[in-house]
Amino acid sequence: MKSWTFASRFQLPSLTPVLATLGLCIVAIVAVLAPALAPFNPNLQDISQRLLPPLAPGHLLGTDQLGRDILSRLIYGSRISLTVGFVSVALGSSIGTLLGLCAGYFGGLVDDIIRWLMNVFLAFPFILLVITVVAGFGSSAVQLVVILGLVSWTDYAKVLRAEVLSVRERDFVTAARSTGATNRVLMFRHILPNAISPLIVLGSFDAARLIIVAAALDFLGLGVPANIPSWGSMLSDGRAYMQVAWWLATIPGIAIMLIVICLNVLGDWLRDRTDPRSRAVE
Amino acid sequence: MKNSTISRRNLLKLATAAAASSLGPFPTKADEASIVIGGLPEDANLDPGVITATDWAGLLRNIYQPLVYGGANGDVLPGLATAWKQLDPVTWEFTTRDNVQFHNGEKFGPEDVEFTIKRIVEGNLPLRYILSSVETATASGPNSVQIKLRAPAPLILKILNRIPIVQRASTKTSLVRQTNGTGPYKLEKWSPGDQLVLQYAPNYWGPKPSVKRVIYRSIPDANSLVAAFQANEVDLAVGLQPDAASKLSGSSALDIKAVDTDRTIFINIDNTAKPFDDARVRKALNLSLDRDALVRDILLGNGSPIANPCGPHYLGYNKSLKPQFDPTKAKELLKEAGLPNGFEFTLNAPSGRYMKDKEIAEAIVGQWSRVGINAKLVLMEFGTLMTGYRNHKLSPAYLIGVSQPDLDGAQFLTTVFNSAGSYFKDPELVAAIVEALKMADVSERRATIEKLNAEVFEKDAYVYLYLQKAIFGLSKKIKWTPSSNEEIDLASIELAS
Amino acid sequence: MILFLARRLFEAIAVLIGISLVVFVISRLSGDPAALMLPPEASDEDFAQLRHEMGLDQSLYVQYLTFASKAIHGDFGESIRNFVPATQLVVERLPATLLLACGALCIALTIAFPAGIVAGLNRGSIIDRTVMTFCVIGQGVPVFWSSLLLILFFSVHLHVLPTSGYGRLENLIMPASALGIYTAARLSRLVRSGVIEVASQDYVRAAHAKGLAVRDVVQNYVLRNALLPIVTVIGLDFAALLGGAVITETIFAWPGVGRLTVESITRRDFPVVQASVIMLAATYVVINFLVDIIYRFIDPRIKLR
Repeated sequence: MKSWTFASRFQLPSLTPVLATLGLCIVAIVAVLAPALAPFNPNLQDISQRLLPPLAPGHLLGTDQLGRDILSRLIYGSRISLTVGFVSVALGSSIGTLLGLCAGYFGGLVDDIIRWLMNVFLAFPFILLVITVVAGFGSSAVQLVVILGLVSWTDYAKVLRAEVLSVRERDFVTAARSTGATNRVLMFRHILPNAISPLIVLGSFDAARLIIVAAALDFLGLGVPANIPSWGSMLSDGRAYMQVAWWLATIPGIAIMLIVICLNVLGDWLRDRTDPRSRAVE
Repeated sequence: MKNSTISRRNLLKLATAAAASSLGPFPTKADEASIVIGGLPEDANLDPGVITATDWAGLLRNIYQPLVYGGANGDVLPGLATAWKQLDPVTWEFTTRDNVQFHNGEKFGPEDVEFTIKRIVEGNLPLRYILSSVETATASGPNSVQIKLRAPAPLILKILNRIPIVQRASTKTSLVRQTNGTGPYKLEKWSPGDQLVLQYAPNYWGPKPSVKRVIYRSIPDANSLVAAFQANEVDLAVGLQPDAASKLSGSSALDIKAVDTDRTIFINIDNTAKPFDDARVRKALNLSLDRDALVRDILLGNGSPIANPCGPHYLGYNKSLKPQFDPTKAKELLKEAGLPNGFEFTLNAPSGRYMKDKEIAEAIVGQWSRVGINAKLVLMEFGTLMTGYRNHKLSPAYLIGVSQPDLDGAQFLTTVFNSAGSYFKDPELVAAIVEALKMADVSERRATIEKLNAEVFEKDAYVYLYLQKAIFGLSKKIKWTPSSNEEIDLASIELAS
Repeated sequence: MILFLARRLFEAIAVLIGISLVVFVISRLSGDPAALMLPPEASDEDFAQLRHEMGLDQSLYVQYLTFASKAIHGDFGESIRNFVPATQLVVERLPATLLLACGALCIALTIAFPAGIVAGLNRGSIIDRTVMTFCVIGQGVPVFWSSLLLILFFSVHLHVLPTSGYGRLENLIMPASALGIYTAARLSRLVRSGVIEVASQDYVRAAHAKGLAVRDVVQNYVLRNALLPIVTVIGLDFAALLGGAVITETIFAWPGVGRLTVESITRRDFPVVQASVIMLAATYVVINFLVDIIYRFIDPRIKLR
């Protein structure tokens, strides 16, 4: 019935996902090795060198309004962007997975309560929720990550719950239950592994989304007010200079865009591989 | 069956087109005799008794007028009052101007003044903090009104400058979306969040202004404002940033005007926190800052380094104080104080509130680090800063900007050293400031304040920085000179040609 | 059926209560509007008195009950800053927000359907890859960046569109485009995958075998059946657009609810924040509710709990 679909898919050259993964690995390596790779201290100011364009001597990507080297700031900034992306996803997915598992597995009142919580969070205009919390509790890198994780758990919970519901009555679960396995064992050892793949797909898209949201927060002045540069704050600071020194905002903008594209491409590819017919809402 | 999906799409498009074409007839381009002002922060209420925000209050001052105006040199000019005298230490009498009408045709009289003052003082309107020294007002004759104070208030005339007079039949809701004042302009129409249009009021008692119609456009984003200005959609751009301004000043089609404001930017310090109790450390903080570089490189010249808390227009400004920059001496002082390797502390600063506040704070931290003072910069949104301000969370140091509308140096010193946000504890200084506040004789007051300004400078009771400039962009359509109080007096704008 | 409706209604109300709790607690904990309203030289007594007048010194529990009992009647109190009723402030911005959301959705649909269909039917081809590349880019570009570039290009350089503002169709084009691109990218992929899935099903291939033209097949069979989940997403996206266009509204000086909310958050103007968040959330809940009902009617195969 679907013979042609599978065959034709694997004939596609899968260069793009490879590139995407490569891109992400490079960013990860750069983030870890930042002190070794960056030519300058990212906070070193030299006002006499301010606003130099890219390819200026000594400054491959130019300098910003305080004379700080943009390449170095970009390298160090990758740390924040990756941390935001992956830690908030880790947090959000953990919370979401746990709640989704419980909701799907236990059903009944537990399910009702968790679904109610999910709907409350979903109904909140996402960015307004983040802004309200950030404006209220201030922001540091840690707080930002926690907040982003806390508001993004719903997608994971939804997916997990659906997966659990569909898997719950399957044979292997009934079999395991009949051997007397506890709830916890059933949930984590048997059901969860089967639900992992859509999680990973979701995580990829979620990381992309959260990186953009973090940058948007910086735009509104509510992001990480860092001593450590972040791509989002570089973008936000550089906005004012768009017509005078376009590279201040464009370079971090491209960086954000590339990492988001890599994450989305990876997510697409993972989804195609693990569940070709899934139409998971991103 | 045939085109169900496509027609659904078209339906949506049609609906949108219909909605769009039914929008109101708001002009986005001005005609010949009107001008467009862009970038003024907008508020939602036109009642002058409610609005304390400087920019919006400035807009309202084109519609409503006070009894007296504060002039540039501290003099007092007639507004709706033509003469005034002090009857006793707590009572002043004002002669109200004749032949003045409100925009709705009602005649202006002393009862309107009485009503305005009572409404604020007794009605608990936000402006009551300004009128804290006023007890009440009473119409005392066909064209005279008496204002009674709680205690002698030497600054009462300056204070009255900030109280626009409203018509006696006004209610809490009647002035929210409509206007009824005595000034040269009245409200034509308003689309909140988008545009507010003022037009010349034909029954205005004073000289006829050159501009008959003004469209205020709300443009919250700085880049969008610059773009609008470049695209000739805006004749007067308010609050331009230095880099945009310097780029635009190259163009012959636009005029950039920067004016000294009355707002000083400085850093308040907590002398109860070590090592700020040591005067040498505080002096080191001041000596290690190259303010000229800050103003030149970050503000692109849009500021003036200053060694007084208040600016030159204030009563009591001390001309002899000059900012000091001596990093070598700073290092020596630190060594003397037992901190040869410097020290660490947290500097709190707002981001996005004052011109380039974030970059200035970062640059200051950079300059301090060269003498070993390692400040950890904590930037925060202004609302968070103000909350921390009162709850004493901003210790040991925070950056802030202050301007005081009455242009009185003693009031300014009160804000800096004797208010909720004053972290520098010095009871003698505070006592002296309180004394200065009470002085009624102008020259005595001035001399005392000058001495106090010198004292806080010598003690390094705060880290002095600079006076801020405000940058305006003018199209070739208008001629105008901005004033230091950052208000836009529409009547002073001339149409070119 | 009645049971289903009643249950859904109950759930919707429970969600609204939950939202009101969340926004209330968060905005209360976020800071003190009194601190922002008073000039620095106001005394501590003034401060305490102002807080008392605003009811801020009562326990959170009491404050919430007061708030909730009024909110049910649509009374969210007055803006702390302006004394204008919060509900009024929000409602007068709603038309602008709705217009922007509709405009963005129109642009998104106009791009997404043709692109998604063409890509889906020609899966694996150059066309498909191009469309997908644009989708990926479209979802990755930060909206404030693309907005600024749009303004610089079309307004400052070409002078064909106004830079910002509200009131005419020209004002709508750029903000709707900037917003619509992201949704267009998302929807294209959905349309594409919907087309792919349905196109591979038996009855479609049967119709194809019967000799019907591709175009007819697409319209009559493929789209109809792929439409259901797409319509769901459109509904939800529309609701999200209502509250999420904050940045676009700021850059294009569009007088919408999102911008009002952010400005109110900055000023710690609780009543307005609460009013707008709850009203936006209520819109979302209503749309969700309607979509559920439509779903139930159109496709009785799907059993909703």
